[in-house]
Amino acid sequence: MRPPDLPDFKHPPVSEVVLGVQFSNPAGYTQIRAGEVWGLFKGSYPQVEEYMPLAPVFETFGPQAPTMRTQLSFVDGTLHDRYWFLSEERDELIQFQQDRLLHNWRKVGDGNNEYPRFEPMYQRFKDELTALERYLASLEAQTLQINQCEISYINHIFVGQVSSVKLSDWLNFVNFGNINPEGVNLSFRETITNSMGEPSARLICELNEVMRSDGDKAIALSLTVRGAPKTASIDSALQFLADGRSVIVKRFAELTTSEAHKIWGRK
Amino acid sequence: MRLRGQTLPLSEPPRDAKGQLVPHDHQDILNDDGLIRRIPIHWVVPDEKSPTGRRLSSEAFEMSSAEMGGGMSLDIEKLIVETGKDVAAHVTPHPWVGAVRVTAGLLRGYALQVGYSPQLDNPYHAEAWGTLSKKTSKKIRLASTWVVEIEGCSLEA
Amino acid sequence: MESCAAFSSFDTTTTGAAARRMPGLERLPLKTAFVIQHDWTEEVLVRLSELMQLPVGWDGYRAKPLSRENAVFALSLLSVVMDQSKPLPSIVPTVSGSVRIEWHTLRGDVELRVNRPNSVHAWFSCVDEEEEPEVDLTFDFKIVSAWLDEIKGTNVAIERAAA
Repeated sequence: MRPPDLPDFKHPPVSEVVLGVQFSNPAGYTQIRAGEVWGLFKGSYPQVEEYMPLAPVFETFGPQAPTMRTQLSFVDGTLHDRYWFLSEERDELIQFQQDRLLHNWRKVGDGNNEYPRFEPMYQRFKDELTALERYLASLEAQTLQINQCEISYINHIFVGQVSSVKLSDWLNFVNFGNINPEGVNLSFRETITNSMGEPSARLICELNEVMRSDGDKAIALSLTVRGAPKTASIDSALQFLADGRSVIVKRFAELTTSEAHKIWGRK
Repeated sequence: MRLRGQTLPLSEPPRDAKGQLVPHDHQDILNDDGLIRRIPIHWVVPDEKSPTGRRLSSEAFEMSSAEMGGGMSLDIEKLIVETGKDVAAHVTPHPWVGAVRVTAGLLRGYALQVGYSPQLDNPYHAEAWGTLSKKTSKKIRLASTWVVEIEGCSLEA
Repeated sequence: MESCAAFSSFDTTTTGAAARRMPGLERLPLKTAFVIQHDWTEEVLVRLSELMQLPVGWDGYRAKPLSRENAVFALSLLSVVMDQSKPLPSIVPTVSGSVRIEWHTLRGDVELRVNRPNSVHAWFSCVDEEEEPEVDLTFDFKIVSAWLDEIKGTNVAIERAAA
């Protein structure tokens, strides 16, 4: 159920949404069984592609800013490919590797496929997580031990002649004055705290120029909330994603201008 | 059947319906019996307070995770002796560089169970089960003695 | 190529980390505990990689090598508490495939046992304090940094002269 106080837009500039969880390697699972996992979703996701796996990532908090994301490059011989299970239209996909499950929706082709909104995506991801957990429990008595969750919204806030765009028309936190930068790459992080003032997640905001699949350039504003759920369960992970979505939508409204909101049809 | 003075074999330890060993306190492991803990080089750490500049990590006296049985592995000294083997040589083939000794009574004094847990490749294997606080772990370390000493590594600090 | 947001956006701002690195300084003799500036990251990465390559049974019994997820979590933990003024940690493998991170100085000790990601048992001891707190931490390690500040090296010779 959408929280009633959440900013809402008729035509949000969202280009991609990702819901994801990371979990400890399940007992009894090896890569040879990836085909069985695909079998859980093949009806709706009949296409498959293979990619390099994603390294584990954890949000931690302390006095030092986590500017370093040194990835362990050591290959221990047990890396599992990352599989994409794609829908027929290729606008929705499940990403799977032995310690990850993600669900992506994205604009494809001419970009006219409508964003299905969070609630249906949430429900689909819940069903997919439940199906995966049930399958893994058939290998050995276990539940998914989820240790990180991530929700991302990638917004193409301006499409077209990006060299001519005045970012301060769209974004509240950027003003180059008379400077016309050739390219913009900006990122910042914010610690999200709970009601007791303790860190509970991290918001990562990135602004950069991207090349879209239709060949146009765009200014992309990506907002990601990442962190550990309260417990390792699916329910707790889903709650994290729902809370993360609220943070992202509110921040998006705060970071963008009222003129931009009119164009996107803020309700 | 055991001959007089013969310890081996110890009586079979208790197992559950699936044949898995159950944590227990074994009556044939007496309080005075020595228990050997193998020390790999990875458990030697620098410590400015140590008289030698190095000491044993607290990890040397820690329990394994629940999924690994939750116990602390040891070798039963008297079983090794009874088979005619040299204890020091038996517990420290490369890469295990050192070994320390405690008594079963010392561990039981800290409310730990000491049980018999023979393995296919180690018929002398024992385990200790229970909760080890930091203070208790430190006391056990300080009460242990070297069987095979690691040069420059203190048990104190 | 169709774009698709990947989980785990790699942080591309590595120049910040490179700018903080200083040439390694030679270790001073034991007992002369000055505040040492160093780059801890290289040593920690080498050590973690080493522990991931340990064979099963490395302890003489049934110990597992360090798992990838525990290695990355340990690194994430250190990245938010360490700076160049903190003493270098010792990283010790546990039999369950994780690590204990330890600091032992003249002034005290800090030990962190990583059970699994988001589950760390922490212990602190300092010459100035009688209490030895033991706490369970998840992903907030502010207190660890404060502990390290209490035990980090000072000029022992000056302290002794003042005594």
